[in-house]
Amino acid sequence: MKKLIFLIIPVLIFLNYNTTAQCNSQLHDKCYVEIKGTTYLKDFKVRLQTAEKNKKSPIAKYSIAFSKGNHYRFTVCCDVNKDSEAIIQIYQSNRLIGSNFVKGSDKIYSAFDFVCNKTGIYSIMISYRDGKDGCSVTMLSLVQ
Amino acid sequence: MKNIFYFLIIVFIISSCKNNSVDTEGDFSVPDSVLNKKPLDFTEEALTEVIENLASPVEMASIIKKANAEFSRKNLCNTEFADNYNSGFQKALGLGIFGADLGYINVYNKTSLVLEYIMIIKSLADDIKVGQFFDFATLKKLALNSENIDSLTYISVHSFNNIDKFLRENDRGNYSALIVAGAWLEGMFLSTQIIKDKPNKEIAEKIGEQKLLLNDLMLILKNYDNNNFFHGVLAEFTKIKDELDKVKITYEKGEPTSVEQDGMLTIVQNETSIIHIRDQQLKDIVAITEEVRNNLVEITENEIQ
Repeated sequence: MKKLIFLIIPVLIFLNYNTTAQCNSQLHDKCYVEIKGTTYLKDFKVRLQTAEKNKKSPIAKYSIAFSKGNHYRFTVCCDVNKDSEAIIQIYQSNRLIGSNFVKGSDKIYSAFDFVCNKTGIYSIMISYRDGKDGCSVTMLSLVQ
Repeated sequence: MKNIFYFLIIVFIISSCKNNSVDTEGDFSVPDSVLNKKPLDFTEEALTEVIENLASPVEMASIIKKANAEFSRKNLCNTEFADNYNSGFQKALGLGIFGADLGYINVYNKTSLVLEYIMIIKSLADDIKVGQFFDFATLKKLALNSENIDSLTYISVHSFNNIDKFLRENDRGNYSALIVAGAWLEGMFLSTQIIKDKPNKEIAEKIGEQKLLLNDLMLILKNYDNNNFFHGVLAEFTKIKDELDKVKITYEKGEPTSVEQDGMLTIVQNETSIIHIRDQQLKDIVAITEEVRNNLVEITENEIQ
């Protein structure tokens, strides 16, 4: 029994560390690898709880400046331990400019480009499909 | 013994659950818009709170490089000026200025200059108690290695982002605002100096459209206008604003499009902003930006407080 406990303790510690790291710096590092070839600008780390019954999905909102003529890339990395996909929406002046969720095909892209032709302040909304709880890193980078 | 075993299992389960619950203090904090259950809005008040990427240390430098402008050492801020920065606010403004210079250096792969600038940035960051976010050892190693320019840029920008986040989350938004102001001013200075040497339509447009971003930046700075230092900085920035206000910006309507090509989704915003800037207006903006930037980088304690 003693041997079993000594065997189990390191396994538990490892598992505990590993599950935590999936939604922390490891996820950030993993996402950085994905943006290779572009110039890192910002990242948005979002952890949201499951939507309450009959209520709208929780949404994280950020205001961000985009410049005309710039080609931006959004790269989304979700926690593999959670069955959730992050939906990114770009708004300007309450108007939806685009999203990585394409309703027609019901597809969510893990990366997408945004070509800006109008300098100004935009809003980025991040939520999880079907209001599930989720954890993700979205990296914004500049495509040269 | 069995009891210890069960106890360990319970401790593991509890600690795992704790780590997976909403973490409001760690890296993955829930944004204010969610925590406070505030309605989402796009009002001017909301804009004065937090605007990401208002003055990126690398974005303006990338634009300058894309326009095929040559790197100019003489346009960088002299690191010796930092010796005169005595107050925390001066150091924060300086941090933004030298941060933008570091972005410019990195974008142009001028690794021989990196060490001098990261040393001064580290020193200023330490003085305002945010040095812990600056991975000086790794940056120094990368600078001396002079191969990993992408990693160097990434770690520098990421450090600045972490500093900004930390300051805002710890009721030190005033310092964050000054870092952003410093980075914006230096980006503006670097781009106007390019125009001064050689006309460039693309950069001239970039300068003109700063009118839009400066308005938002000044709204943030105005939150702290009751402080003498901020009041002085605002007075200087107003000089640039007065010139930028003469730039006319018109818009051409267009519907956004989303296209998938080779598995990659591209969203194009087809509404366009058009910058109308006359040569004389540009000259005036270049001159006033140079004056304001030099006033602020060479600032001494007595001049502004």
